[in-house]
Amino acid sequence: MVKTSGLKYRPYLEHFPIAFRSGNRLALGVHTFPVPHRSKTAPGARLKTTGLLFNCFKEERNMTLPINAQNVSIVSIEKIKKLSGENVKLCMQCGTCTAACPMAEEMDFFPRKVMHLSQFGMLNLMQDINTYWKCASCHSCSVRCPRGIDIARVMEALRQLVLRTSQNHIEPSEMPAELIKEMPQIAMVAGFRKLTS
Amino acid sequence: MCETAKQPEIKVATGDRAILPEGAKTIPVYVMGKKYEVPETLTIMKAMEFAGFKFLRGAGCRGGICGACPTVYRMAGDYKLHFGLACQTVVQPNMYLAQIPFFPANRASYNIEEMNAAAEAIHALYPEIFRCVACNLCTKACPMEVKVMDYIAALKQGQVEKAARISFDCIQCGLCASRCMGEIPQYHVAQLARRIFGKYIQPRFEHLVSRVKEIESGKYDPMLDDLTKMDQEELKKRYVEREREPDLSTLGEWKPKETQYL
Amino acid sequence: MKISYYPGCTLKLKAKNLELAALASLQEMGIDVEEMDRWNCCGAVYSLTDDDLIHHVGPVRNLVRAKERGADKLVTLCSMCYNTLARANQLMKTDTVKRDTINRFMDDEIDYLGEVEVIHFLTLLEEQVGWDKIREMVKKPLTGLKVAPYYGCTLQRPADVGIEPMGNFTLMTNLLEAIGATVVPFNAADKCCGSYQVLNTAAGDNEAAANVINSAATAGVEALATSCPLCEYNLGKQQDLFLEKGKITAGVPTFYFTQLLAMALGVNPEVCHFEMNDAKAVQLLEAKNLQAAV
Repeated sequence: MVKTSGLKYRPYLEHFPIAFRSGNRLALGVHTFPVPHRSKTAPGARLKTTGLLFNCFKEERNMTLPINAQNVSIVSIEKIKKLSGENVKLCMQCGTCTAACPMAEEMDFFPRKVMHLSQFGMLNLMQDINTYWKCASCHSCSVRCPRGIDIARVMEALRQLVLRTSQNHIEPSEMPAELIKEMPQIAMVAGFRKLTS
Repeated sequence: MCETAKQPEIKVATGDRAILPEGAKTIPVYVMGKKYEVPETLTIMKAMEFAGFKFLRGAGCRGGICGACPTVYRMAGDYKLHFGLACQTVVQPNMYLAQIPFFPANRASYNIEEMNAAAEAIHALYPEIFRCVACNLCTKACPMEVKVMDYIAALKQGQVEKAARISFDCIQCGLCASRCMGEIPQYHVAQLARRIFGKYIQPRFEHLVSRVKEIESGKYDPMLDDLTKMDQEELKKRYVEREREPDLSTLGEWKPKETQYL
Repeated sequence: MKISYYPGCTLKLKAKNLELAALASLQEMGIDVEEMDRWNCCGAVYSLTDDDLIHHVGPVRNLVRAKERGADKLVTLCSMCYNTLARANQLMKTDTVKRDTINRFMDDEIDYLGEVEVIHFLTLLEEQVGWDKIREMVKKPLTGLKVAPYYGCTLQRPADVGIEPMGNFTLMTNLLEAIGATVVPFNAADKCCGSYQVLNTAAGDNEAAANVINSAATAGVEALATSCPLCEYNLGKQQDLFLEKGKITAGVPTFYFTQLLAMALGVNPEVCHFEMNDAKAVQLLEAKNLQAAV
């Protein structure tokens, strides 16, 4: 059994994933070295491994993703599919959604990465990120996806998985009165529909 | 030999149980799931009291206007929910009842003196109205047939007067709030709308203002003095001979013959 | 041909200027539309989960109202309302199972089967009037005003409810040219303004909106024409904050396209309620000698 570095992520380090065999098991390990923070520009290395392709783009939060039976959740992939009606496994990770997204700069993980995590049903890794909360449902991603995935629906599914546990992302009663008085009503109606339960 | 007719045995009421007359029909109703046989023509409230329940909360005017006795019920075997006031709704066989004397509803704190006619003030105090999904469950629950969804919609649009008028019959029973998906306290919002309408939007009744001024200036004092000094005969005469505007006369057309008191 | 007009909540309060200018323009052009009776909020956004039906009830109820009045078409101005109503309509037309469930839930309404067509005001202008006719009716052409049509997201996406194919802005371009303005295209005409994220973002931090304004300024656009009160808020009303925070280098005044139309048709400018726009909008019109009396 080969040990992997587990689910920790270190924001200031770049991780090059390595896949290797041990006996008849495939596991991902990590080779780390430091890079400056906030390097969002150049894509990282692409490693072809023994049958497992794993792209690593330099993003603000880099992490290792041990992909094994313990972390891949078929149930979660099904949950996302059921709520959104979309088959996330079709995603080929081209990154067009990220390029089209007007809110991408404000997101912890880009849409492409969230699609990738969704493909493995890794909802636990998406718990504390703001990606689907910052989504404006503009559908720029959905209309451009070469695989025909309605990514806006996937984002809605991720929101609803949280909202339906009776958790509001924004709290109407805590909104400043002056803001409510000056905004057009559709802002409140839309915001409450998307961000409250 | 005379035989005195045997007097029918008189049953004396003991405790708090009423006695039904011979042949009175009872029907089963279920209160909190337990079956009780109650006379068929009673209202829910009286039927429950017949069954031995005592209303410490949840009863008020008993006249259908105070909103203290909202009731939810189902008929056996039917999924549909029905709503009504216990003091007004007559029992039917196999009613499954629940009383909802109080349902928690958020009420915002405000000072009516510091408000104005703008609908935005209502929006800021009750932002939850933007959570309305137009499901209409509130309207269906209203025992006074108020179009609750319509007045919430009017408020979202900023039409305070329209909301005030639509919600006029509301008795604040809370059944709407108990059914709302958006967790809106509809009747509190409506009350605020009516208060703002009354204070800031509805035109003032100028003739009332001027009449009050006349009274305070003493214009009617001499007339009142005259009346208090009259004896009963004179008062009767005056009363019988009084001039009164006919009921269906057109506004402004009728004038009394005696004009000195106008 | 009966056309029901659906205003939406915002046009009655915060975007009165959008509505009043539109209705005055319709009157000038001799088009008759009837505001719907007993309409309710459409929900502003379309619910995207497969199992959610309750959020479709709001928009469908309005379609029922239009059907009750015997209308063939429902026209609306607010882009978000347009998108929500059009998508709900699509659902009722195509998904028979969901349609039946929604109709059964709304047991207090007649059944709705997708009988009404939802159109946007721009489509109404093209169909019922035509650009040439509008050009003839113009009394005060907006000569010299460099305007860009700003569609935002909801007029064009998704494709099956878009008022025209994605990437095309001919409807508003044709209108603006017909009323004498100079149309300056820019590459953010259908980029999102941030929409409801204004609730989830600190004031003045809306990057999406700032990008749109910067893009417009770079392209030499003098004014943006929009159809959505939320776009107008994110782009127009937040501009001073953006300037303060250095997110934009220059402001670009925003108008509702109906205000520009009304002005060009010679409608009394008071009807357009320019005082509800940004002060820069009025200054621009005055600078161009387009006589907007506030």
